[in-house]
Amino acid sequence: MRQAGPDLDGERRSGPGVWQRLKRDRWAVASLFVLLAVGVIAVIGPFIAPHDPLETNLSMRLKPPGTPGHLLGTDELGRDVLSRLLHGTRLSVGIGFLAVLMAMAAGVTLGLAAGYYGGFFDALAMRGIDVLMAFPYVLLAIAIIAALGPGLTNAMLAIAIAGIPYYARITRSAVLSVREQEYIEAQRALGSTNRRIVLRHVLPNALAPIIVAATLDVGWMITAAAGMSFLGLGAQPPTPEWGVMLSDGRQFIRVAPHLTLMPGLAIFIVVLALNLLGDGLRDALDPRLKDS
Amino acid sequence: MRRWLLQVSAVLAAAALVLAACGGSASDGGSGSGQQGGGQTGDLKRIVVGLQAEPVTLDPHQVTDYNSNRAAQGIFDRLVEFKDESTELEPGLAERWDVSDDGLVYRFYLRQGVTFHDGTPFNAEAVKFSIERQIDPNHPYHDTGEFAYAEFTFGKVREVRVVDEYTVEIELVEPYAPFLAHMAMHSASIVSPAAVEKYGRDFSKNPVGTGPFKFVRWEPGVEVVLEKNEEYWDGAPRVDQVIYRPIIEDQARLTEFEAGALDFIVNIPPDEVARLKASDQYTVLEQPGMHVWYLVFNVTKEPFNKKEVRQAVNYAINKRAIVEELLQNTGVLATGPLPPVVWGYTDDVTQYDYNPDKARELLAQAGYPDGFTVDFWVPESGSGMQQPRAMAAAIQADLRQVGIEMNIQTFEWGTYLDKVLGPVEELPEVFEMSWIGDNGDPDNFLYILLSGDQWPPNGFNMGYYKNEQVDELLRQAQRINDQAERQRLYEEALRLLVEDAPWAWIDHETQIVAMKKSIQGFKLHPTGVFRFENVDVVNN
Repeated sequence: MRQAGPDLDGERRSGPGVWQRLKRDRWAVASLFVLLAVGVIAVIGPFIAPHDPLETNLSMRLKPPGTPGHLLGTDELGRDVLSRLLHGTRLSVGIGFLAVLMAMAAGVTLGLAAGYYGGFFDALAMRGIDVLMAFPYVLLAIAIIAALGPGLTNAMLAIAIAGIPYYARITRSAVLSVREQEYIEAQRALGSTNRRIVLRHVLPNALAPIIVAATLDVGWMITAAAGMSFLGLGAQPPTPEWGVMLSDGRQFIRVAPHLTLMPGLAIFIVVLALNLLGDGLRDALDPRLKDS
Repeated sequence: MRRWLLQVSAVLAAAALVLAACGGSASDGGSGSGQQGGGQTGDLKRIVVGLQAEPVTLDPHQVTDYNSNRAAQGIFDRLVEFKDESTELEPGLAERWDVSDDGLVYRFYLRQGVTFHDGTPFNAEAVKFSIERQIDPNHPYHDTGEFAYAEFTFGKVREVRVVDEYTVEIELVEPYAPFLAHMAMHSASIVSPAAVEKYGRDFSKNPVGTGPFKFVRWEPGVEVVLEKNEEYWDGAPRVDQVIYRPIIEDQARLTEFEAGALDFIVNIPPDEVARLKASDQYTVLEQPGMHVWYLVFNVTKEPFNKKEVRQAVNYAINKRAIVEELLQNTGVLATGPLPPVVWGYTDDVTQYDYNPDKARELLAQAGYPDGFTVDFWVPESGSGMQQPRAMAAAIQADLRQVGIEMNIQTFEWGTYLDKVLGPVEELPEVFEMSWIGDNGDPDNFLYILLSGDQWPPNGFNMGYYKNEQVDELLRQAQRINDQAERQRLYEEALRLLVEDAPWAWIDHETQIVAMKKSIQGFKLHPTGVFRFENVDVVNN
């Protein structure tokens, strides 16, 4: 039972409660701070980087972390690893968020329409989603990239498309339960248009699971984008994207393990923080799920 | 549940750190079949070789890549063979041969009493079959494969005649100096006609020859197993089994080698060579390679249709830094398209020493004072490609200094080859390529790679370069047999080519292999094949 009951603007009142509950979760709060810091780095990273991330110096290659002038060492071309990581934050994290936004926009629209209107449109949309889901995302992404050519934007597009079914399904199932509520019926009785009902009443009340899903999904998208780049399908050299750095560094894993360790850790920290925050949010938004 | 997740994450993180820190000392487990590696197992002497990639075919007539060639080599013999460690020729299945005075007819006298692994006899008919199968579209077994090397190897053959059971004559349409060397190439291997008739297209998976090793089985993705031919005409090999395993990742291959699962590996990452050399467990062999690594300029498009621009790129790349630092001297600096180990070479050519100022000057002369932007294709890996990504990034950084921006696009090797040999309209302005010589003749570099007659699909002139003067010199050099005169012609062609700069050549890779100390008597061959017939495995 949704606490707001028949309240027409239920989601607004639940706001402070969510924050109170989230605050009690130390890990979620810590993750929030980590993510804020990552966000700041994504914005100012390129300005505080000590070196040009593309500047090569073959006589200073594969220097270990702690080398004067190169806090995190240098890579196989003598480029500064710290500067590349700082520059890469915007790309790697930004791609994750953007891909989620794109997938969400398409998926939620589809899910809302399918769930609310039902009938033939619902069947059609959901079979389309089934087809998309039947493809492993890597295969789907490779097919898309084969058609569009490799590159960061195309990789982002590919994983975003691969993510659409996830949002469409979550939205649809949330909408299915919301649309039977009395307050929706009340709106209908008052003569509200479908558009108004969907946007003002159905969507806000179906939002909680979507937000949780998106938070958890950003981490997944970041990993997927890095994976695409690792496979050579995403960002192209010399872009300082974390997946590219991992991929290039793996050939030097014995002589210079920091080349894989540093971008690997960066991805690990961001994704872990996102998952912990997502977990916390889910508990806070929907206390019933806590022990399941 | 959250606490549980955290603990797992922490453990995973720690494990990842430890793994990375000790440099992946654990075996990756995914490759190989998990059997204990070679050496002497009981009484069996076995060598397990780690290849760069899966062989494509074991039919020597269809081979186009290094890995297939290495795996198929020991199963077959040719009429003439390269000597150990050189591309000079010595008798193989032909005991001797003579050439008519006009240079048109080659008569081979065959070795008698040799049998194929399937028990059928080797004779003149088998020679005729092996050649005609590839070049005669009406031959009943022509459709048992695609013979990419046939045109290059036998393009000048008019007729193959069986004189008697053990004598065969090959007539050419015109004198062709490199022909005898062609007869020692993989595409001139003698295959069992009975086996081709029996297996048809599946001959590539069931190869039958007369060579020192017999084919046992091929498990795709896992291994190719050969065993010694006890009846080999030149004496049975001392090793009982040779196994070829494809392991694509250089680091994974090295790890398996050091873990003991492989006895012999190729393509050691440059930064690891010194460590292996210092170890007393391994032998590391090196030999200057018949190889060249280069950027192909697409001369059908701006801006590389201009000589000054091509020269500018050659000046703008710090090739020495790439060879000495990035490649750790696992190659020698190239001064032109031909490696110094192949005769015909000369260093009396235009020298492109690193000089960004000169490059800027040339670009301005060509009408690009502010540089330009081009697409640059790069493979992820590939035989002979050395460190394609890192080298691309280094070149890209050097060229940025003179105002040339390169958009790198990377592709998986198979896709890459399809694309660069595809329609010329779809080619980018510049891309990476490398070539490994097949027979030690300069014709096998200069003609096939740079002659205007050899645009794909005929040959491998992938930048569609054409220079009438060079073409004429190269054709002339094919028609005469006097090596001193041919040397002069090739030197002349090289001078013209280097000045015209159809490529930016970087280096000639040194062949490097590492093997366990127990493997004795192995010699590298300039063509890159592995000969295990005179090798022994001795455990102390």
